[in-house]
Amino acid sequence: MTTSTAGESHGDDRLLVLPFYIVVDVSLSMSVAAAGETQSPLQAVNLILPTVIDGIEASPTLGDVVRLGAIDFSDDARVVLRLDDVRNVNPIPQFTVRGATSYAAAFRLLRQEIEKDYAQLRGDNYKAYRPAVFFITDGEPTDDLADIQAAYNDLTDPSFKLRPNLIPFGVSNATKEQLDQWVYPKAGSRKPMRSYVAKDGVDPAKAITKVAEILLSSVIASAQSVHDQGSGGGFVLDDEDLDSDWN
Amino acid sequence: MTGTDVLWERHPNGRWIVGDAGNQPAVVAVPPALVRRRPDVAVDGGRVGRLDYRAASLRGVGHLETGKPRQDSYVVTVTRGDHWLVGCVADGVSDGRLSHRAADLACEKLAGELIDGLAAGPDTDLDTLDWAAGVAGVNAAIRREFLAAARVEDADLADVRALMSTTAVAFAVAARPDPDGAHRAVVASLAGDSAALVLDGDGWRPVTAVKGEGEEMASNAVRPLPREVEAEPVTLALRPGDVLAVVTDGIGDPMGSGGGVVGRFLAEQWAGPPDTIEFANQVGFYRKTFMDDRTVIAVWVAPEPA
Repeated sequence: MTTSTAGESHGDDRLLVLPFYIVVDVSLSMSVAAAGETQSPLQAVNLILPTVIDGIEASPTLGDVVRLGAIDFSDDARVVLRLDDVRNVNPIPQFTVRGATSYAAAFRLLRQEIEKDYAQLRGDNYKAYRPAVFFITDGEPTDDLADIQAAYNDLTDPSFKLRPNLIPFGVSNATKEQLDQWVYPKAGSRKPMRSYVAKDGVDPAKAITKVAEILLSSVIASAQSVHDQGSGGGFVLDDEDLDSDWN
Repeated sequence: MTGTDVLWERHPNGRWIVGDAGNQPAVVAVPPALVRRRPDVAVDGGRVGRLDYRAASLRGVGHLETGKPRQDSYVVTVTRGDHWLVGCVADGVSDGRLSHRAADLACEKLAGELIDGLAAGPDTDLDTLDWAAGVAGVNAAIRREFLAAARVEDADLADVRALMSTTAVAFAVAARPDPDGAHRAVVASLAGDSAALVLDGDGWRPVTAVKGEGEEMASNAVRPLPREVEAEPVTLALRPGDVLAVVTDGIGDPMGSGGGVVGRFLAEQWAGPPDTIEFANQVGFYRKTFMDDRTVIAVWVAPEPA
């Protein structure tokens, strides 16, 4: 057997990595089940990480390339799961309800975390694709629109090289009009993203289980794009199985 | 990586591991549905004049896992009179269901064009090669097969690319040296990020643009054929002992500019022309997160007699 040792790390040695963040509204209203339903939106949210992690672990190689992080937001925003290889995540953290709904806090923490995570990945000799953010909310932010806009602009500033793909998912009182503001890149760009807003009357908890499916199929499609050639960028939003519950 | 890490070693199954294998040895191959008679692996090797060549194309770990066919292709051949070794590697773009055929056609047409262009023999001026005719031939051949497959009368190239498109890099190397001892050679990357590198006493040196170099963010964007493109051929003078490697990005990505562990691994394995089947095994190393199809044509210029 021939082996070789020694040598220092080199730019040509960087492995590839594909980061995903889920960012979840944990305002009080998320803990209330819709009339006639048993599961609250937040209970449904707490099934997302286990579903996605199971899906990633079902493939030998998905976990090699995918990194998953989670952030919650209410009056403030907090890191629930630091971006990591899902095979290291044990136990799977839970989202817990707090109070109000600050999108601005979520966007600001997201930018900080992305900067910190990418610095870490670079230090660990990874080359990362652009991150994708699944932003889940029941609408009605309690902070000032101008403040949200400023935080969004900062997160998606063209000079911010790590600016993420932002895909908002709305349930309950969230409206398409509101959430379309927080999509990035917007329609008309080379590779636009979109929002998903559950239609009136759709149970928010059931809608959120769909978010987990879209997230998982996007993880799989994106991982394939890393080793296949395509339109570029790494992240692929895959909603082929989307039902008619969404606008 | 610290100084005590093993940089490459054999997996118990015989494959090479370069750095971290990730979980790649656990992948079980799923047969490609609906694509018959397309081997997962193709290999060739031989000698012409003072050149030895080895070629290998392997279905990648990602395609093995997802049941897609090998979308890479290559052609390696010689001109009449054995004056030139010519070849092409191509990487069918995954989005297109028939991209593996686009890759085949690109290689056949470009190799054919080079054979015609070099018909004057060993003294052919490489600047006279008609790359535009080569590109036009590739575009026409892919479009023709698209029209037959889609059963339509007409289509523009963007429609064709949705079903079948490919990158391509073509090359020619003189089988015998000029009086100054150098072998004249030309390499042209016609679309996307397939690449060529030369190995000499100083290590690897890219002779085409290195994908993603200097970019903060990883990306896979390509501008594949069929498309109106202007070739930018690079002429080279290969010295005795040099190795030219023409590669698809399945090898180009993990190699980068050749200065890292993958470059060092291949430089050590390819100090001289290896056994042809072992060459394929060297191309098929495990390395975490690098799961694409891999194709390499490597050409060794015989060293000066001692």
